[in-house]
Amino acid sequence: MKRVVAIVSLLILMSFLPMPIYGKEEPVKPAAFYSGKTIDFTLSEAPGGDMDLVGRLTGPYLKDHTGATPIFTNRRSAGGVEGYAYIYRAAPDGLTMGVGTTLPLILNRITEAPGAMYEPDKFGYICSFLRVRSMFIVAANGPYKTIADLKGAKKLVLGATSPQGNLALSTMSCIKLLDLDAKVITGTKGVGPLLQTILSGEIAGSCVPMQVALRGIRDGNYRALFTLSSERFSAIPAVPALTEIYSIGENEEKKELLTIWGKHLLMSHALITSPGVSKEKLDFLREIYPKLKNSPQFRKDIDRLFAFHVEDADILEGTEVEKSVKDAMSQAGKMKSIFLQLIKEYRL
Amino acid sequence: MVEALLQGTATVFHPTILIGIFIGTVFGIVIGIIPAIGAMVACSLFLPFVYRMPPDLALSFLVAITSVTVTGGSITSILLGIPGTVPNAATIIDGFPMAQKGEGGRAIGAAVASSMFGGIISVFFALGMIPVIRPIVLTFRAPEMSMVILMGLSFLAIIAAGSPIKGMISGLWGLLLALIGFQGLTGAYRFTFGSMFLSDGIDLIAVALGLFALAEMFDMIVSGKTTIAKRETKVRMRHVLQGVKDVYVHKWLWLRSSLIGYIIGVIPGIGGDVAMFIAYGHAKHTSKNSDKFGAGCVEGVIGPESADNACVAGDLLTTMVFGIPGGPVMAILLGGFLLVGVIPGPVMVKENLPLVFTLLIGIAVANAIAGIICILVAPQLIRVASIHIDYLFVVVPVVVFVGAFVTESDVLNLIVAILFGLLGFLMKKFDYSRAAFVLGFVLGELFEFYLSRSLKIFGLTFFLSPACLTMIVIIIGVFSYPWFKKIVSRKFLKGSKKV
Repeated sequence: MKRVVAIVSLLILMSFLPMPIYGKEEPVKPAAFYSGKTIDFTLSEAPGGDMDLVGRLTGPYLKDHTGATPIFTNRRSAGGVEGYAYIYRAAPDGLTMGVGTTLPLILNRITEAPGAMYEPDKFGYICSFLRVRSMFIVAANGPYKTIADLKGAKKLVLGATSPQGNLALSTMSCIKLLDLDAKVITGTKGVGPLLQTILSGEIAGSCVPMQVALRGIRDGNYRALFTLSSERFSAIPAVPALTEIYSIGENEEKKELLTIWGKHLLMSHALITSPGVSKEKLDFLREIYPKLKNSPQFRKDIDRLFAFHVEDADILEGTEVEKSVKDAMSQAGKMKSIFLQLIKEYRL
Repeated sequence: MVEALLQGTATVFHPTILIGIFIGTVFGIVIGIIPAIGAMVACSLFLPFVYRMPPDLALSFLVAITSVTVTGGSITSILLGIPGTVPNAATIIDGFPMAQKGEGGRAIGAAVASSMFGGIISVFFALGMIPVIRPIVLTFRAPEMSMVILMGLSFLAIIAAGSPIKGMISGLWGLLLALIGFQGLTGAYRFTFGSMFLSDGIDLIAVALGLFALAEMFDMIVSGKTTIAKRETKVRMRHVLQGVKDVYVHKWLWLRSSLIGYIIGVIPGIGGDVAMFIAYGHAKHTSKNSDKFGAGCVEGVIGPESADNACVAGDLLTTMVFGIPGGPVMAILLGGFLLVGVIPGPVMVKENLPLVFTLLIGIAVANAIAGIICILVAPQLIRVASIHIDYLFVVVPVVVFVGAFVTESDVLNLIVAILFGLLGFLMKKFDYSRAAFVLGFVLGELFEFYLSRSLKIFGLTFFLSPACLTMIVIIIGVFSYPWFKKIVSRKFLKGSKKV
């Protein structure tokens, strides 16, 4: 009997011996880790939008690079906050990704939009597909042909989508910078309906993303008066930057506002992953950047999607995007007080 | 222009394009039959597959899907009382009672034929309107939109089958629930209790699926019914063709409803849901059999079904002319345009007019194909209404939950569907109109948005624009028409008696 107990005890003890071997994680190379897996890919926008389409276009390249299959889901509630929050909360295994526009990501956090429970500078930025700039547009056949026309007008009504969104804040910033007698009416669901209201004369104009404005400008529907930045946009070089044509003088507040838009709030459509993803995996994912940038097919696809030639300089590395987001977040406190004041002053 | 029309027509009948349209149509019908997976989900699913195709093929394929999903949706609405797509909720009001009475074949025949001919005639409306569409669409600003929506809201009492007061109460509850969520004008989150799920309001698809499909299931369990159709009938092709004949009998209703659908399609930002309810209200309001509406009246099927497919041509034309999507489905289609390198807008109409014609005529072809397919398979499909509840109770909830989940990818929508299922059951039991509730729900947010916007931009006298005043006159005319008709016919009868 004693012998039986001894043998059984020995066997039980022996069964624990391999445990340290099982417990020790075999270092897996990122390429092997991703192979055959699925990527939960979040599109923080409604189907059919720029970001949705650019995300879906990236799918085959992401699969080629990682060996993992992306499964796309639109999580667009609360102006995309749902999607950003989802990616932020996901496990840091590098299997949750998405496409996000850095400006709303930052502004939602700064203006404390409900549900924006994330820190923009903590995401893993893989690369960016397009650097976006804002343009102030009016109807081509409308009464406003120049900034002087706008300045001469009384009780102008300009438009935007969400009251705390980038369209509203950039349009309100234009009012402040140009000393316009204007207010901003918000609430249109998306840029499409907003453009329609400009065309019908319901509102005088708005600041909109350049790729949206460009299509309408080429069609002869809209006239771009200026870009809200310190540089011209290569696809329509005839449209001047605000700083070129308008002197804001020595007003410190305005200087600060212009610096925010020209330097700190650089907007780009970026490929992001959850915070805390290991450096090895993030570096591996970032290797997709040269592949996308040098792929003639991808370049052709995005040129076709945005309807202009996306310059090399507008496709950014993940580290560059990360740097610009960190830079913006370093000014978060200052921006918050400025933007909340703008909303208070200029919302109709 | 004639040359472009001929070129566009020739392209449609090119074998490759025709095959593309045929495949798109078949997908569209199947997707429409599956509850809640409407054109929006279908188009977004197929976008990644089309971007390497030639533009005319890719776009014809997508347009075919978009054009006929509601035709497929009408079948599910009639046979199971489940809205195949959200706009089909209006078809349920009379289509489902017809199936219960054993007239499913006739209802499907009427729905499919009115959809098909509505879709085809709308293409002619669109072709004729190309030169004048721009000024017409630009007339619709916030005040004019408020008036269109007001017209829809005024049908609340009319579309209710029983008491108009109960119809109004249902509609107002729908309207109130539509106000939950983020309000874009003020930036306020209303009744969301800090929940991200409620920030964009309650999902219409989950509401419609619960109110109609689950409510019917609960009702069947409680009432002890074993099948949807109260009496089993052997459905033959002649029953289906009877429905087609009904469309001919009510040809003026079909034409008016198609026109309503087309006009609402042209106006950006309103959509097919509203068109179908307005067409239903109009059908009931102008019918001699208005007391039979809600109990299975074929005119209640013809009205909304003529409007739904007619909407697409109007919506597409506006999108192509302005380069601005008229609604969510067109937003996805616009993405499709851009992916294949076509930029919709005035330049497209000037420089790529044959493609504009190809796509519009493609709508007519897709509708014709869909009509023929649906009529041919209808006698087989109608057997669904005779399936025993034991099987239905397995299939219907699964289909409903998949439909509720798929659009927002949120499991909480399943709870919404169940809650609205219970509410729908109680509404049915106590004779409160579910259709009026859905109409209030659809229009509530739109009405609040356009009215507040009109007041903020144009002030209290916003309705004094010529277009608004014209619309007020039309609204008054539409509502006084039956009384006017009654007075005229009474006088005429008196006169003839004297003779």
